[in-house]
Amino acid sequence: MLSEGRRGRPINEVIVDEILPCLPAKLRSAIQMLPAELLASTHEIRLRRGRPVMLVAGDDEVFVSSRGGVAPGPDEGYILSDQETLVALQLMVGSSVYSYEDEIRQGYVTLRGGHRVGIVGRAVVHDGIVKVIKDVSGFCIRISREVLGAADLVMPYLIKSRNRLFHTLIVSPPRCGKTTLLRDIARQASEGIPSLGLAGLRVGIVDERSEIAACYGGVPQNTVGLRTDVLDACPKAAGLIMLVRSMSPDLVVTDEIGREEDAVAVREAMNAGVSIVATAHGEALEDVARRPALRCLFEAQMFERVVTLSSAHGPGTLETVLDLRSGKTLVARSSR
Amino acid sequence: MVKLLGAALVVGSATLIGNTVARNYSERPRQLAEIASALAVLETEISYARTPLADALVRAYGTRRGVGTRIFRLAADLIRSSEPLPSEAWQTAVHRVYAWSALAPEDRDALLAFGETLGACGAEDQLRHLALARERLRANEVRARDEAERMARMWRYLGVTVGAMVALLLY
Repeated sequence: MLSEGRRGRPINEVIVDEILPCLPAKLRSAIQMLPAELLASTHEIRLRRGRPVMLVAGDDEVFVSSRGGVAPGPDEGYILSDQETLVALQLMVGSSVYSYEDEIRQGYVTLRGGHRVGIVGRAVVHDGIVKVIKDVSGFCIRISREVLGAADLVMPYLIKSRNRLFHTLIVSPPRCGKTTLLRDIARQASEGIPSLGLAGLRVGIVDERSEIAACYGGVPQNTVGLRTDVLDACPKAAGLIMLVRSMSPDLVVTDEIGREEDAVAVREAMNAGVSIVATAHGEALEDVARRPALRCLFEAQMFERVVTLSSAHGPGTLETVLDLRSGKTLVARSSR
Repeated sequence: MVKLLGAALVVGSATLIGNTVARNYSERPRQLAEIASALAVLETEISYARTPLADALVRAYGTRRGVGTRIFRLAADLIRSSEPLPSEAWQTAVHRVYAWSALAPEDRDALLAFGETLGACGAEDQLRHLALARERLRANEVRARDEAERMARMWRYLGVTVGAMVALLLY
């Protein structure tokens, strides 16, 4: 289900076009020599300074050979040099660390195409706040996938009326397709689903990490729908309020709520009569509901539907859809 | 009559030569001033717009095109094409432009020192280094202007007097 990349392009092409330009030249050609099928199933590329470069494809880890192609073991692997680590960072940030300062401080940058790169190194801390990450030593490049139709299974349970969706929270551990599902919900809601009696809604996306719409120079690279407005790189809490006040949306979509101010903003938007679809990290609903910042949302029963995902049958496996108000399970994986 | 015309010609051309040499002395402060204003633009681009470095460099070059600001354009081209490390791109650009500019070694050193941190640190640090480079170059510019004025005046006088002397000797 998840083998397709952006707008139906295979993932191996997406990697060649969008990821490889951000890698040092020698490593670029080594990865290009890997079999296309392997690249097509790649989820992550992991670079660690002084250690072999690794690809995560499905459940397997593959070492890239220093001569190009697949290495039989870590000993023959492509070792990332200090210089190459620096070059990789500069390529990812367009030679300007200062324009990605806030992201780097939070431990990631987003590449063109919405691919997120986690960054580790030595954190420089002032007054308990990370100022910058120095001596960068590792990257985790996560290949973003756009799956048109990822939300087909859940959409019937999210529609409240002709022009409303239920307030929905998507819960899953990392790498289970939260953002992919969220993006497709936004697209389908924006375009409308006549067969389910849903008119096209005005959708606002607050895309703090540029992962949902993958804006590049302000233009969404992913298909997000006809009636969708994207507030790119804007902090969620501030962005939610801005969209509600200025763009009169029917639905606002945002990724990874978790902080106190996010919960306050979500609540305010809901009270303003706007539907909210958001995601949160967690194994199960109970984990999320226990988090102090989000607890108030559950106590006030603000969310109406909860969708949980897992990677039991590959990323994006739908586990359950719950109706929070009645406590009923609308769909469960075992019953499908 | 012919003699007088010849004498006037000798004095005239000697003055012209003196003036030409004098003008060459003002070239260095002019190039330094160009670089200073390009650095000011770079500072604005970084502090307010967080413009990516290559674009910021092109904009800095665009405001005042000249020999000095060629460094900015060249560095931007290098970053975009073959040299992703901005510090190395800047270094190459400075060396290449320096070879045929009127800049002095101390100007080159100030520019090279600035390039070491280019694109590799947060905005606050970047701006601090920028301010430092501007200060150093401004001090150089003041000195260069002083020297240029002194030397230019000397060459202008020298032109006229040597011309007059030669004319007298030949008369």
